Amino acid sequence: MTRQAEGHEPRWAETMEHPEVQESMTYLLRKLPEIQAAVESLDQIVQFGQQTFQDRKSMDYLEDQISLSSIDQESIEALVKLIGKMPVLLKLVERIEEMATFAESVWNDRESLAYMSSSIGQNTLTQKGKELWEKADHIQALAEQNKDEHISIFTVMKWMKDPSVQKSLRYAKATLQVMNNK
Amino acid sequence: MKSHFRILIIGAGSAGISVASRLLRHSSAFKHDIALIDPAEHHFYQPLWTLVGGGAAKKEFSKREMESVIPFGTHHIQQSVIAFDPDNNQVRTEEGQIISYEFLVVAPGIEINWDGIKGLKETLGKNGVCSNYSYEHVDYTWETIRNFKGGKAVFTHPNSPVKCGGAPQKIMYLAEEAFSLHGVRNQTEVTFNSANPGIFDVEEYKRALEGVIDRKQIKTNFRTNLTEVRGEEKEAVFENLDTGETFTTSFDMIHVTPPMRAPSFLADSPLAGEGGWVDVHKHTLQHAKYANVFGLGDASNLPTSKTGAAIRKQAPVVANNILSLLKGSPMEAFYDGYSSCPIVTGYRSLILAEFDYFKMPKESMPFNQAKERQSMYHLKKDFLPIIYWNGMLKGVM
Repeated sequence: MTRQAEGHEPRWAETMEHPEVQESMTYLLRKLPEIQAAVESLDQIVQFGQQTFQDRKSMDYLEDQISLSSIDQESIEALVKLIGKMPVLLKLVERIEEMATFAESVWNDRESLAYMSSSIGQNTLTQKGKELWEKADHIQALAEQNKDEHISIFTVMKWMKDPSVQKSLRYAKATLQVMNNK
Repeated sequence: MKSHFRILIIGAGSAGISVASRLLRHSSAFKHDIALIDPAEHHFYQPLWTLVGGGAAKKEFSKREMESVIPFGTHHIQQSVIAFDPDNNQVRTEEGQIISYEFLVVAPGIEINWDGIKGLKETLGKNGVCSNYSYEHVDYTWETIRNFKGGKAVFTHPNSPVKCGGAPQKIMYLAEEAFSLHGVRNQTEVTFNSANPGIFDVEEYKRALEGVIDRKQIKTNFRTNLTEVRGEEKEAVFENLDTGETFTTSFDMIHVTPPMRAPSFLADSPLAGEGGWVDVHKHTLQHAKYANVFGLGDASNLPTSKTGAAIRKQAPVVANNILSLLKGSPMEAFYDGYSSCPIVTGYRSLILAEFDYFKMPKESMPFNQAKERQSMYHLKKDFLPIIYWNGMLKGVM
């Protein structure tokens, strides 16, 4: 006779008295329909796999499809290499995605577009362009006004001393030096 | 109303929204399981206020409806948090609501202590007393500078941590140039009274800024702290932080950078460390005591300059480390103390200071950023606001 049979309660019964075990059992019982459904669907998948492998016609069809495609040894090797490069490609794709999200957000953000357009209006480059245009107009008007004026060689020599002319000549000299070096 | 969230974020400022956006971009599993608690109705892009105060930008572009910037899939709980209970993973709001969480991100920002300077609140916005630190009053700074007819122009930096440590001097450089453009510079004495020991903490940029100070002939008084403003009398009282002596100076205009502090509901909580800031690890941004709590931004005790640029680097660290913990992996994201301060030195010039915990330059551009550049001014004025609204708040930049 075992000690349990001598009047001691069996060990599994002791375990059953623990509240956390009872709670787990209740939980499992409640979950049984879901567990059954999951096991059934797993079983169906296994059966499908087994039947497909046993189905000669299906397997022949698959083999034909693969042999007719351009998939060859090289493709398999490329696939393996591609998988190896996935972490780098993922980073790249994430960057592109971020840029696209940013661009799309700016495009749909009326307030940002309005701010950008007002900034462009105040931009120094635009202002400089305007100033340059005005200067060109002024130069043209002045040239028209003095069209009968005679320019002598002494006038040209006098211009040579002008800082702007000197600066332009220095640029011309530097340009020639760089061109000759190349 | 839902009372439990996987991720609960305190503060819908740049830090809170960036973290929420990044988590949502990473996985749709967070959709409707992230909440941002913030009582504010509007969200402000405050770096623009320097330019608004200098008359170079309109303040309206710095303000948006909060609902327009809250990421889709995030709950906005428009309430104030009054207590943290990190042992039970809960916070309590002013309305008495208890909200529980799996992970908590603490980013309520920094609080401006207008009462920290005697007489300031009563005279702000009149008597030539201005401050760029409130949306309501920032226009008055430009009004004061524009109408300045010469005299004493005083600019201050307080004896407390501030948001963007360079901002108190930026407005001074703009004002000085405006005085020159308006033909009153010769009749004006520009003074910078700062509680700091020098013009900047990072040696390389300090040298460059000392050059700017010399060129602009600005008088500096370091280790001095503004304690009182007498608007009607046009007098300001300062204390010398080394000797403890006080002195009074007259002014025709004064730009005040108010003292700032950790929000009181945070300072009195179990999450706060020294000074009332959230006590987090300087590299992982995880709370020193509570593993499911993270902190970032101006309210954190990170030993770096409190700037939006710092938050741009902190937000991905918090988001990635939370994801690691959720997956049961070790935290790998690491914050190196990066911070940046685009120091406007004039209407077309800027020094782009970028540095780390060691106060070493950590520059992004392929040129010397300690040099004043027009291109960097346009970066700040024209591009950074766009990047903020459409990149940083969307969790992509």
